[in-house]
Amino acid sequence: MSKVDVLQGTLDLLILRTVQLEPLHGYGIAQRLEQITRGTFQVNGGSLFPALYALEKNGYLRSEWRATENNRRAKYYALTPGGRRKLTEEKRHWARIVAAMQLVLDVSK
Amino acid sequence: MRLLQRIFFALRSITNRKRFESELNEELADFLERDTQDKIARGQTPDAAERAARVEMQGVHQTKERVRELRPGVWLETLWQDIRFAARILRKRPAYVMLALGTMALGIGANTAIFSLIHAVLLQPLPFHDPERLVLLQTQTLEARVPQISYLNFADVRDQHPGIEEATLFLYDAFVMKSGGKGEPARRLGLRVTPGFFHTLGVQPSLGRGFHEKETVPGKDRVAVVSHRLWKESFGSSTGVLGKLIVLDEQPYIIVGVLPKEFDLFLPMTDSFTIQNTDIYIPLPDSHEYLPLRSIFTFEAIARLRKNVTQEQAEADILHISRRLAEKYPDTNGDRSLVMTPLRDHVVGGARPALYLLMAAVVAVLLVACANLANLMIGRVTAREQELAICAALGASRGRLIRRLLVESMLMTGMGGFAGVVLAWLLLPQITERLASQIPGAAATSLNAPVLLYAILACLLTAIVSGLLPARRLISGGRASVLANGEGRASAGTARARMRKGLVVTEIALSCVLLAGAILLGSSFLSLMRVRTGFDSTELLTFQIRLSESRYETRKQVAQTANEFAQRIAALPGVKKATATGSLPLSGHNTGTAMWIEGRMPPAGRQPPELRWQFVQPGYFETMRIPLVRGRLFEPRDLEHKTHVTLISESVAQRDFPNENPIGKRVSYGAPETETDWHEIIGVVGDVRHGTLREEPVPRVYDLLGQHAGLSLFIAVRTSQGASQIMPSVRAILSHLDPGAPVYDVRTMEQWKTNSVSREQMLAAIVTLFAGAALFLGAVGAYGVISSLVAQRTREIGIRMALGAAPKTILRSTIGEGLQLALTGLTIGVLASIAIGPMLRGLLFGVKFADPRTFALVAAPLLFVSLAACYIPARRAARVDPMTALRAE
Repeated sequence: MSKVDVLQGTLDLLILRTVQLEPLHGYGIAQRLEQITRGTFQVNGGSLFPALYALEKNGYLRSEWRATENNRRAKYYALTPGGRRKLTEEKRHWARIVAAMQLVLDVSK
Repeated sequence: MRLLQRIFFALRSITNRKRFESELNEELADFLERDTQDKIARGQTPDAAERAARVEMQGVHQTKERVRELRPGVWLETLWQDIRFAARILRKRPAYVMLALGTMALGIGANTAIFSLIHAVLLQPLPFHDPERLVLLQTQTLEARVPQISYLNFADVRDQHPGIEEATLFLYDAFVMKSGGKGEPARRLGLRVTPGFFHTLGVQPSLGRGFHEKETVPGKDRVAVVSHRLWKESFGSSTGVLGKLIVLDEQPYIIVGVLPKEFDLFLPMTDSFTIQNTDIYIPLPDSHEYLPLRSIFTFEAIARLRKNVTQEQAEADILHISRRLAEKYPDTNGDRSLVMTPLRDHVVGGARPALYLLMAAVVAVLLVACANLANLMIGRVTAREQELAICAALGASRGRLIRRLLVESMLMTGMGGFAGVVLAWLLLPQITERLASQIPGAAATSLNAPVLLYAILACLLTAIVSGLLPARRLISGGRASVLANGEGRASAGTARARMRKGLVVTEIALSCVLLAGAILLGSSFLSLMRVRTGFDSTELLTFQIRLSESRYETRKQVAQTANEFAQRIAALPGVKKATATGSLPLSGHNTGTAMWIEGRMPPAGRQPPELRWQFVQPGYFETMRIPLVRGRLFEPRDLEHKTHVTLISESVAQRDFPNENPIGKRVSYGAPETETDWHEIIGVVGDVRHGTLREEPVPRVYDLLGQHAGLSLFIAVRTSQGASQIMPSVRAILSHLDPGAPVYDVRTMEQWKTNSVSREQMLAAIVTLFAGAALFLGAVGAYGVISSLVAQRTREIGIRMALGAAPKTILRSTIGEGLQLALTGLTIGVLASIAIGPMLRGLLFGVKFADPRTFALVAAPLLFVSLAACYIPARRAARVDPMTALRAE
């Protein structure tokens, strides 16, 4: 199965959803996304880091340096309360888009 | 609060910059390493894995740069970087910087100076309380609107007009002042005012008080309020001045008040005469001889409208009152109506077109400066293509690159603007001094906050335009176009060249418009100076005297003293002739009257048309060299005859006595009541431009000094000597005849002439200056563009020459290219001038704006300057050594 780039405008939603359960570092987020989508979505660092810093600047994420599982230092990103609200909002928004897309596709059958 | 927080974050992040950078490095390195490890684990070789990881990152530097831009406060920090960078670049190019600075200094300097003038004159409120509610009450005759009004008409308007809150009447006057017995008697201008004068204008004396109601009663009216200027000059700003005496026309007055410094009444009365520098205010007595006369239009009046009364409503009301008065008093009001003008319009209205013209001219200069700066910037960008491309490759975003250019242009305009403001600050006092007597309020011109704000805005605008024009390709094309090489760069080059050529064409067109304006104004000024005045203004020395009121009881006595005075002056060595008169041409003194002709009485309630009236000594026409057309001139014996005699000008003869001989006809100035009112016409003299040089001669009649008299006299002396040689003797003669009489306002007739056209002269001079500046800037622009085009095409020229093109051909084609720009600009400029020309109509005299000669005069210097600007780079092109050129590539 070939990899595709993340849809325009959905990267923020994906990141927020990925760190919802537990704080993750940059590479962890990219990896988790690839795993969950079974390798469909590939996020490269060039897009990931600007998005992470923007989310942090807007108060949806906070970050801290922590020791990793194999005792290295890494920067972990976690959801803030604002991020949680944002995620709910984005999910609802996405659901509407999906439903609308589906309607269009069904009609054209 | 939020803002404070943001600023705090911004500042903190600057101080934490090092940590931010190291953390970012660590985070990205960590990402890359994990990615690489993963890839190795999946079976790639370490080298391949690392390369793949970097490729997927899409450039580590670029990613970092994009993240950096998200940092709070990053703008502040990079701005500082950009400023330092721009400063470093500018330091390396002193010639370019000097040119740009000079350009900006010229543009901003001119703009600041003129705008401060406009601010002082047109935007600043008059120095009275709530000045927008003040109106001038005036009389509209069939011919013109005169500022004056008669007392009874004034009283009716004041009492019947519902919109008028209060009103004041005043009379312009001049006094011989002796203060404290010391010093020469001096002549001072002043006003006789109703007690409410200061209250109506809303001015509070800074010392003492205004007038009381009862101070119009004869005997109680010997009180005076003086100007701040007089207080300073004659009383050394002493606070003990209240209660002191000043002697005005030999009458003692008690000083009761001193006016604030900024108070000045600036009332234009005619085109060339304005009431200003009034130093003395005394009450207008109840007993004044003109008060009961509805027909004497000699007073000035200002009214204050009630709050919330609109101008339209007030005008409608006064029109209504005026019609009622015309019905009630047809004799005096039949042909006249009463009108009101906002005081501000009356005071500054005349200066408006000139100021607008100057403003348009400086904006044009600024546009030229702006185009020039943009041109320089484009040239710089072209030269720095490589550097910008590298910056872009290293991850600098488009915004950052554009900002870098903006910072550079702002630095330049900032410094240039500062130099311009300093320039304006240096020049302003000189401009103001020259304009102070011409334009009301010009004396108050200063570089205040609004003016500086204007200068800053002008700088910012210039910086944005000149910074963004070269960045246009960056904005539209983005990084790709900057990075593009080969074909891409070539097309970028042509687009820039096209833009630069466009800018040069704009500059030339604007200079052309300015030049056309300057030439029109200049030749208008010259044709004014060449106008036939009807008298000989050369070798005429003039001054005024004021005889002492108490010494003379009859008009004849005044005439005798004046005659003797003139005769004695005429006997001085070097003096050919001398004469006294009530008014001199171009001096601004004009008296109007109506002329009744015997046997041709106007219908009841109607007055004959107005003409100008003047009393003269018998030798007046010989001294002024005004020609006699028919009949004879006044002779000394005419004063002894029983019948009054008079002279009329040619235009009166043509208007009132067509196809008949006016000699021997009898006329009366004022409705004839007794036999002695009739004057016999003894001759016709040539027409004289008396009011201004612009005005066609107005019908004028001459009365004999002695038949009529005034204590204020003009003296004209025909002499080749200078004032310094004549005046001491003149003063000695006068102090012998009338010891209290002051001599003042000594100047030659040529000076009166120049004075009457000083506004035209000033306009022509300033616009010429601006046109010169624009022309210079245009030449610089053309030179810059042509020489950089030559530089870019060195290789092409080299090839052409290697293939056998003669240097002459190269020279010709390069000059041809420049000439094409000049001609395009010239064509656009000429068309624009023709379109704009009619707007100048009111300021021009005796010139046609679409005159081909004007455009020939415009084209000649423009083409010459552009050719010169093209010649130097063209010669350089012709000298290109083919081998060097080819090797360079």
